[in-house]
Amino acid sequence: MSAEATGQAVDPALHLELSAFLFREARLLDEGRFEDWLALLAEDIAYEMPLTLTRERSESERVHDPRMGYFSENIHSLRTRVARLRTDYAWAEDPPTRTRHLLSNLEARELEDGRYEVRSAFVVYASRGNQTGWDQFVGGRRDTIERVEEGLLLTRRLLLLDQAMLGANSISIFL
Amino acid sequence: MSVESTHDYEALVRPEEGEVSRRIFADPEVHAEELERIFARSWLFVAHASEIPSAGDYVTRLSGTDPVVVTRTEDDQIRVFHNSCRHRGMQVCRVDRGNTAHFRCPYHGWTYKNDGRLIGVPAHKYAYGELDRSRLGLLEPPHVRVLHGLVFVNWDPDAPSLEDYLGDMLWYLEILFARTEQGIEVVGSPQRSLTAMNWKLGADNFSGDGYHVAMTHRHALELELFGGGTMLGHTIVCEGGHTVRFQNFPPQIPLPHHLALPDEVMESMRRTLDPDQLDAIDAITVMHGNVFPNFSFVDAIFTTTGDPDIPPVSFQNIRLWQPASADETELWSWVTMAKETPDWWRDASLETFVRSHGIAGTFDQDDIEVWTNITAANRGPIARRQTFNYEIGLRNPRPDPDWIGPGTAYAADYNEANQRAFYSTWRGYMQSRTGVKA
Repeated sequence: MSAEATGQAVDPALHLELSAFLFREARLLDEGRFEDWLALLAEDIAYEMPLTLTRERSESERVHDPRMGYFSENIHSLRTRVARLRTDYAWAEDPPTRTRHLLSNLEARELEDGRYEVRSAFVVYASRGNQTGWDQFVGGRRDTIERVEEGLLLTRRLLLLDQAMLGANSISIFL
Repeated sequence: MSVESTHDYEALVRPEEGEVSRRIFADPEVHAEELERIFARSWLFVAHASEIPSAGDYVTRLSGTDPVVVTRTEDDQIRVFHNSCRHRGMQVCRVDRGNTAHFRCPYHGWTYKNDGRLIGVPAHKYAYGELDRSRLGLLEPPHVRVLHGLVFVNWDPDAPSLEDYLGDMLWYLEILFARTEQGIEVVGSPQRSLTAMNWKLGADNFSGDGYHVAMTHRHALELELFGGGTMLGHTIVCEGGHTVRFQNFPPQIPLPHHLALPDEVMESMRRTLDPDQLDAIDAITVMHGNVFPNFSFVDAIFTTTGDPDIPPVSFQNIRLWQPASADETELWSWVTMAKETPDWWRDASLETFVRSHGIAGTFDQDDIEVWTNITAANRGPIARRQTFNYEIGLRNPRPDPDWIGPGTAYAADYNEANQRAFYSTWRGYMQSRTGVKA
């Protein structure tokens, strides 16, 4: 999963446009505007976070489990997760976790099929209840974005978490 | 095994009256005694044979709080060792999994073959003159048993055999783990998180808590992912504190039979299980339970996770509630399935698990929210003087002598007989400094 992306680095204007799209997406999540967030996802989105394993350096290529993950989502399961949050019984998220999605180190390329790939580093701080500590989710992200008539849509999100033993009790937010 | 108890467990744990002290979920001293008296003496699950299919494969695991490495040797034996050098205690293996013929300690270089033998000691002659390497192999539990691929260890030399320990529970474990000719296998690696809860809350829930579903997981009823209506089922207590719960789907809400298992699995299952075992899972939504102390399992059908692309499938999930401290548990969670399972069903089953019962699953999030908040509420001295209530089914037990399987069965979906059996067994271990059978 560490293969270099092929394709040309995008020009500065496009880089800014892609960054603005991802920053807005992050803000929608932090503001709890999940329906608006869903509108930024393509119908065929693949939203995935494989397990991270502790392995020897010689096996660095196999740090991410090819089968098991924390997320293995499509548009339907993401909509179900959002619908769940709108019931009165999503106990883990009511009161809601306060999140701050920080996105950095953006590298954008145009893929051969005309879509864009943006690689980035993410830090998500999650504050729950009155705890003074944070749940922190830190890792690398590979996003694939396509241009449609109405604008940009996210078609793939691959989240590569740095932590192997999850330090949070569970994951009840979107990353 | 000689920690002198400062606690009167007879007074703290009274499941016969439906009362269990909250102190046992919070007190660090109780936790330390649990490690000695329960985890150092019970049969503990460490791995499934399918996780290390080839010679040289290994995974690192915990037995209680002690690190172990589970290996497959060149002569195809599964071995389990304390993951700690016999010289100064350094962990000889520091990764989750891999393949190697030997483990070399980074501290002074003692080297062990993957069958535990000490085969290399740097400057052997100069440093030691004579050293009997044969008595310094990696420490091995006195009992390791692989049963239907499940690898269990027991550190108590006087422990009963695993078969005797499981007793009637074996019949139920076969339904899950020996249902087909080729057996089951683990898919991928286990999910893991360090969760701010006492380990017993997970075991308690999986032992047979049908009562929480309609409230903790109410979102699923609201979204019509889940049928409501009258709950029918059985809770079963086996000797040794092992328990199972079956929930039937209401007859007016028909679901696919036999957990919607695919034809390839069903055909093999009909040749493998006895008819009563097949019957037990004919019309159920879920079968779950707990092998004392911390090995839980669930096999559940999910008609939908809101995804029209996924047909109704079930998933099998093994849980370990690893007792990290009085208020921390390492949650380990594996998915298993029959080797005969076709690819399309594998994918659907795995996705269904991840979305609902994984650590980010819509069901588990809410369970964990409850267990962590219970643990937080147990911190104070007032809480620790109180008890939890386990009175469901105490005065209306509804025993079912006609139940098709072994153990003591109750025809009730809401029943806390299973939890009472768990705590009664727990008390037996905690009161006795040697050999236990509650």
